[in-house]
Amino acid sequence: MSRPLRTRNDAILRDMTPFLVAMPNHWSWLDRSPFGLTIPDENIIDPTKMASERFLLLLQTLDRLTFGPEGMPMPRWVFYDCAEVPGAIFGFAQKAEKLPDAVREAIGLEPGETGLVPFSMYVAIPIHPPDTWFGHNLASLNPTFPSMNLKGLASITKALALRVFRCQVQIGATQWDSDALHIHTRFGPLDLLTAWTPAHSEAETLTYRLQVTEDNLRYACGDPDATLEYPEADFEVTADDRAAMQDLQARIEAGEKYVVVGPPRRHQQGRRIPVARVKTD
Amino acid sequence: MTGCGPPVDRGIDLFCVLCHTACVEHDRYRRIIDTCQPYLVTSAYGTAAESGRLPFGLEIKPELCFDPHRVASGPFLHTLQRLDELTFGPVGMPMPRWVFYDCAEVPGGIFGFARPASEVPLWVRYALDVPDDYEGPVPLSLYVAIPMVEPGSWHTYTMCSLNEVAPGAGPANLALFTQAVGLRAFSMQLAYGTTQWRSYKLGDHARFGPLDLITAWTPAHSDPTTLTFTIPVNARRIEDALEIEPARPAVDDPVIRWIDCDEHSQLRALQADIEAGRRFQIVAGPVIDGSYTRVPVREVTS
Repeated sequence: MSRPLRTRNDAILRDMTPFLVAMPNHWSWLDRSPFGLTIPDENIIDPTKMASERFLLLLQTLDRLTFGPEGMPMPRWVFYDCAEVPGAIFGFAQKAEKLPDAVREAIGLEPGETGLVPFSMYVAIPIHPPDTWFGHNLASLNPTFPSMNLKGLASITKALALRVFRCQVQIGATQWDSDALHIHTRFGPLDLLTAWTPAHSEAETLTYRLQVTEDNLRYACGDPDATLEYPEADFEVTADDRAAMQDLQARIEAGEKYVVVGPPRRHQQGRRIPVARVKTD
Repeated sequence: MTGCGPPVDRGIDLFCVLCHTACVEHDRYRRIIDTCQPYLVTSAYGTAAESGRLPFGLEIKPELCFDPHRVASGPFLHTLQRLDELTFGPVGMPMPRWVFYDCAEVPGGIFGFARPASEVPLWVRYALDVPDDYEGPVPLSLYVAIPMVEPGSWHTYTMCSLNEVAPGAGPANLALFTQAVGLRAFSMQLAYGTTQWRSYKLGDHARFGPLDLITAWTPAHSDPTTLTFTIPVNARRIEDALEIEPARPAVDDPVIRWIDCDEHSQLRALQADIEAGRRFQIVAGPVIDGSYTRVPVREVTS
């Protein structure tokens, strides 16, 4: 049995409740007790049931509050066709009746409304079932409600989600200037699959691959006993340097391999992301 | 008939035993096979990259395999998105570019048929916003499929052909043929799908049926009149879909429940029955009678 999970904010595990959205025929393929934290049966949501509508609508609210200002909120049909039916959504929720009035109002709850209210989610769909997944949405209301002591919610959510999905290889895409890169790099070095992605809504998107291990999940959660090593950087990419991204992309397409080896750091000329070249024989 | 003998079902391929070519019984779709070329968009990490052979002697040429991780694929992928905008924009569900990337091209794939730009009429190029100096393939149909958690199951949530908005842009029945070949291109055993009760596409889906209903009323979707269904994929179903129009049951058939697609109370009632554990199938495409659209559904009791 693995040792209990310790995080940078154990109040999340203590005070919030995990949930899972997935088709019933997928439940047996998933780990419903990640790191010993059991998802209550009543928190396992079937997206095909009419009674699930309200909770699924609140997931869309979570997404809008997180991504609305960045311009990529997820349409309802995308939630259904590109998450709930083929893959899964894991996150943490709180009971509506426990929430302060100001939070209830901001989320759009009805007076007297009860039930689960999602505060974070990680959305992923299989690429190569059962162990390779594409994570395409990580949302957390920590920035929206800073007074609720939700520090670390996004990392903890992603870590437990990857365990729930039994994911061993995670592919993802994010923008060079996205705050999310701070979170994704907590899980370890990220193999760069693309550095410049015109196929995406924003060409300044990087695609990465992460090898998932128990150690890097614990490290990302902030477990003080977990360690993770990162290679030394060979250079940095400035988050708005399109020419550098395009040059790096050309090198990747020519067969060279690169890894993002740490979180972005602030610099006078903007954010800089450390990258190492992988030596190949 | 050329005398090559009947096609032999080897489980996945419909090849003639003697000459290993698409049997002439499929001459009905010869115009598509002769004038359009199959393409595939998939990343090196997708299962679609391992997908097997196509039926009817079709092959996907290397120059028609597009990797979304490569910059050179950009112009073709842009035109694909334009095709989607034209067909799904009017119903309020065009696919954002990031959804194409995150939820189709990388995890699964997009299959369809295209023609070289030089062989596409100017009005089609204009409709698809193809640059004047573009000389590559122009997609006329697309079929999106992504793997599901359960191995062997795929979710096919988008399909269309330019004929829907520009009749004559491609041969007739291009969407149906794209779906038939696409089901094999991704080596799926069970196909999930979603569409709306009033969608004309339900008729095409029903040709591969009967369709097992997972939902009849879907408030989780942008359009609650969405239904979710499954199709077991095998060579016989694909063959029949291309050759046979499912017989519509009689109006007074006692085992058939005719669903009025515009009566939401009926859709909700059917959904309630499904959630109570009863099983239903759509047995044929919609029947339009005056201003009424009805779909035949039967309960599966065995």
